[in-house]
Amino acid sequence: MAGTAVQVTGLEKHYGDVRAVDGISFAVAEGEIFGLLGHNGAGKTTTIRMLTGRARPTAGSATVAGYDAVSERDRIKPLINAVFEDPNLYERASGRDNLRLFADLYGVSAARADELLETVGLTFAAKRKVKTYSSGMKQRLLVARALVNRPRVLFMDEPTRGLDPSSARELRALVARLSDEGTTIFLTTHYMEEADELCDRVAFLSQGRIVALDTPRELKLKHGERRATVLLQDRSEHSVRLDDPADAARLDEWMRAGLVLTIHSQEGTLEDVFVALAGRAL
Amino acid sequence: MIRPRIVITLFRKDVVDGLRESRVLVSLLTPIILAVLYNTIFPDEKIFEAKVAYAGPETSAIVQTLKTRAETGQSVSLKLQHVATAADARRLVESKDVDVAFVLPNDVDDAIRAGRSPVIAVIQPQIPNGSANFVESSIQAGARELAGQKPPAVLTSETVQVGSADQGVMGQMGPRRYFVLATVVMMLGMIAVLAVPIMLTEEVEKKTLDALLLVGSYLEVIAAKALVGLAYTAISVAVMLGLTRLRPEDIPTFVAGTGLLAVALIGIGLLIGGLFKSAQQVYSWSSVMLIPVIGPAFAVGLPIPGAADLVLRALPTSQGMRIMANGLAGKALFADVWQSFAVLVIWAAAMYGLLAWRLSRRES
Repeated sequence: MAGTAVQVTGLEKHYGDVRAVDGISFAVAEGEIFGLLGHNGAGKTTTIRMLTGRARPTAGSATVAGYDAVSERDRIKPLINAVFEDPNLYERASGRDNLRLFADLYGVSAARADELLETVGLTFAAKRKVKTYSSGMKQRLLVARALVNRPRVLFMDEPTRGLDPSSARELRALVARLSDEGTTIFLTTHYMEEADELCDRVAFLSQGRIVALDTPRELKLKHGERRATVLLQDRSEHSVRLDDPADAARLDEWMRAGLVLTIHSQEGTLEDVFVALAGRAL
Repeated sequence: MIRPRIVITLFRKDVVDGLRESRVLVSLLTPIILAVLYNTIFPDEKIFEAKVAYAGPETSAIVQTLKTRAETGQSVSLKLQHVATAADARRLVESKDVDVAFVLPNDVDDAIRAGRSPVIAVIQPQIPNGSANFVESSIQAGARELAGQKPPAVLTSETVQVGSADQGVMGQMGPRRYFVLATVVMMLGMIAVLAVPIMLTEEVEKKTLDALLLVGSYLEVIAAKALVGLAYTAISVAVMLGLTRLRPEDIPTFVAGTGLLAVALIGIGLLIGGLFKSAQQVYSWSSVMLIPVIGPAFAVGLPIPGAADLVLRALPTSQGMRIMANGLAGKALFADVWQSFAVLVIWAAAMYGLLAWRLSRRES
């Protein structure tokens, strides 16, 4: 069984009277892709800030890669990295210089910069100033920068934001490959389909609290509405709720009468589950 | 804990990246341009050029007296030209190629020694000039000496300071050196209170600080910025002194004053950097911040009333200017220089103490 990459126990962060994070607990296994989903202000970024040693928790504890996030944060730093939501790159420098700076900071070979530019398909623009990059290119450079030190735990905040569908698909493939290679991915995203596709487990964060945590499939099964689309002989189409006794009786009636041409079952979406649990859509 | 590798890497990045930022570049170039301007506007102190032609024996003791007085007086730059005839000398005065000319008889030295009172003609334009006065007085002195006469009186000249010892500093240094030095202090202020905070604020504004803090600490980021400020200071001061041809007579005092003032001002700049959310805000407010930093440097050598003088003495740039003025002149233009060092040390300690306090709050 894989070890624990991130362990969070009763973590809290208060800003005055505001409880940005209000006693959350969870564990992320090594190599797992873990999704943290929530509205703006739900506490996602604050959680990541505490786990990456950039904010001190008010209460509770957290370990990352086996080290305490507060007292041993200097030990954690070489083992983690992050893709930030904002394109926080040095825009007056070239893409290669951006990566070389962080290669130097992490004490890894400068050749790693070229290797990563190749990985994210930016070799052609290596010498160009970042300010001339498109938003998609900047996003790919952010990902490359986050891989400079071959992190054991990678925090990704909206990593596919601003990417075209093709680039987003490539990035999701890269994330899956990193996970296969043993990198733990801690992901926040607004794209429910992305979380559904990528994440081994997701946690829904609402007002600083985790309101659900499980695999996307289990969440959909537990909290999603099971439906079926029924096509009848008269070519009329009907959506029925399988857990609704009235709808179930109606379907039974159609079946007995031999009126049904096709039935397509549909499980609830992660979006539906989120709305059901958090009260509104992302 | 500060890791030197991280600080040096950030320092290298900041030195280059800072120069790519136009607002930082402006803060470096403006004082240098101003210093060159002052250097051009204000001529060197009291020295004027005397262009003199003469006809007669080149070996005359009178010619020698003229040369000796010019060399020892340190106020006249003598350009002496020998011509063949009196007519040639007159022509040069008429054409304004020389300021004044004189004609010595061939046996002038022997004639004077023999008491024959030879005629020495001085040819000068209708409007008298300083060169003619210099030549006439030199000829008189040379002739007396040849005649074996003692001067009727020994003329001594002494300059006295009016009021306190500090008030005549600009006069003692000369406007060129005084204003160029004040511009050096201005540059220290602009680097510390403008360039350094812009670089720090930009890291926060563009959120590159978040990426840096994943690998380094805020203390390391701050240390790198402080080093960049010191490096810009060292390079810019050297460039400015080179361009204006100012040479500090007492280099250790000058370097100590410059270094300590830069450290104190950079401490202020790093604190200021934490008050603003964007580099543009720093730039917009820079004139308000720079006036109390730069103003005292220009005012320190002027006659200032008592209360204002007390305020000036409490400010780092006025004290830095005092130390640097002493270092540049190689003498104690300001007598209380130990006070200046003490004030700078107190400012530096206070600024870095506040910075440490703010860092500890940020960490928590």
